[in-house]
Amino acid sequence: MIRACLIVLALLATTIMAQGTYAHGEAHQDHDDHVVEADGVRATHAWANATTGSTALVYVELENISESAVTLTGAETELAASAQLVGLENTGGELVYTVIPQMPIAAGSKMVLSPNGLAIRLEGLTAPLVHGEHFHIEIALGDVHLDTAVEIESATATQHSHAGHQH
Amino acid sequence: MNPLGPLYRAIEWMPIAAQDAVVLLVLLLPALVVGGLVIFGYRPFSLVRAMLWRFRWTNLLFIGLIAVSVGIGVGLIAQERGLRQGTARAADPFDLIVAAPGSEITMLFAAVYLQPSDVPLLSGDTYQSIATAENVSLAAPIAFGDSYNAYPIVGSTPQFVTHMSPALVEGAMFRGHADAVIGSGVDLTIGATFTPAHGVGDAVEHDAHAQFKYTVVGRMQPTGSPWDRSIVVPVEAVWEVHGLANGHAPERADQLGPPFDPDYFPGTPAVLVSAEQLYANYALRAQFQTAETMAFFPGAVLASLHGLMGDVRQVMSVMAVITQVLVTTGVLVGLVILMRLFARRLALLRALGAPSRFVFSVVWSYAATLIFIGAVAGVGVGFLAAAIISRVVTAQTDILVNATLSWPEFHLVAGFISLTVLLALVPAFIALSRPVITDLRS
Repeated sequence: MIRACLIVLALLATTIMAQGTYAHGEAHQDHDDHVVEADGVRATHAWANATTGSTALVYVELENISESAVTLTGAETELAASAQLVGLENTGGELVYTVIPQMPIAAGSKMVLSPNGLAIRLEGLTAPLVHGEHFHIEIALGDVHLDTAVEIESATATQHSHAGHQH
Repeated sequence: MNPLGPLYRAIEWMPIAAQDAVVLLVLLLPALVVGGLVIFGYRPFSLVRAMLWRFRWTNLLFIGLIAVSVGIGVGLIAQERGLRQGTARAADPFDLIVAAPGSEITMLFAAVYLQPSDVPLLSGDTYQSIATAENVSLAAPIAFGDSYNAYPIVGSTPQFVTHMSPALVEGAMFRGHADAVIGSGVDLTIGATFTPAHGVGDAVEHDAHAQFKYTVVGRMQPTGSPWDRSIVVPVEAVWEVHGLANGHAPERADQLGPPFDPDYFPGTPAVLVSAEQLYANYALRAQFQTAETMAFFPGAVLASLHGLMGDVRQVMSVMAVITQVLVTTGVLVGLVILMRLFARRLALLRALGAPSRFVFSVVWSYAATLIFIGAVAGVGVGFLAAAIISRVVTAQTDILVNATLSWPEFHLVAGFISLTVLLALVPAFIALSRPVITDLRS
């Protein structure tokens, strides 16, 4: 019985992985706007996990190539009622995301928003996030506003599918 | 994917407890609907009571099998959650760890859970840059490698001891290089002296530091972590014991704690860094994620590990339900055999004019009652199993694990009840299909 279950589980996993790979291959033929830059601030590889829920986390690599510090203050998107910067925090043994009102990024430094760390939390999503599609988000860094495309990766992805590529 | 996900999303506007209660009811709904349909219009319970009493020992055995199967399954699943919370609670005081580049998991185990590894040291200049960085409120070296009677000895600062235990339960903070503050679970008394052994584990060298003696001067509060079995000493003493400079220039050789002189700083495997604000901790992590240093949040590493455990939990839940259903199927097969003993009485009922549906409802209610009592008793067994396993895990790992059953386990039991009372329709159908005349003559 257990062997039969394991075989069924293995077959299911293979099918799911095969579906994931196929969708992944299709998604990135459509657009290649992984990098946006304005006033010495660069946003690369914005992505989120697919979900049908009402909240989602957006991850992105931010690089301050200017000569002065900038402050990440939040974001906006038409797809959600609110977007806030959050950071994972261990409070008494509970790992929870806490709102961070602002995040300074020193001149010449990089700030990576990634799973189990910093993220932009979208609440009140007005539509499901479908794997392979993308949506736009406006990231506010003081007076600088970066409008970038957010790739929707699979529900279990842990990084942007172009992570590690140089743009 | 969680099959209950769509249901949770539909009711996410409710308070959390109300959501869980609704999910419990939805999971029990198939059992309630089937029960309602089967017994609608009849009162089979006096006969069921008589059947339960007539074969009470056999019934107790069936109930016991179901209870143990359900109890151990939910107890183990609760344990996984308890272990996750326990490991995270143990890591709570460690906001940010800075170490030499390498494996975050190795350093997490070494610095937070006191499983020492041979790792490169951070230099005095690096420590200085960490300690003087903007927003740093605590930069405590964590220097491990020695032990006493299997208790790891860790060199650090008075500020670190205060960070781990804001007040001492007895004694006082160390004031001299040979003073030691012990964890709550260390079997030493205030005033006791001991000689550190070089290394940790089976390969310790007991005589390597024979010329040095520490004196216990204080005891920390319980932390629910391996630090309860640690001995914290001034980091200066750890360096001196190993024949190194003690972190301070000769004219300030008696100083304890920061500031350290980079020229006399022999090195430390890790530095615990803390800032008052969460954003500052993230900024410090970004600042010290360099070619020379690695900075990580133990909580983030744990979250990644827990993500993997989340998949294990789902597999465990599936396996638990499969095991429980298999045990219940065995019990139902036993019931089918038991029905042969009841066959003559049931045939008599039908010969006297009892409707087939009444006989069907009697047999189903009998089986469903065994399943329900077994499942409820299983919740009790689950609480007991979770408590016992927690004690064993705590004793084995020094991480305080307080596992107890909660809504996910109750949902699992509710799903089990619904699934198995549907299976209980089978013996009822079999009992009904038996030939009345033959059974009356048997």
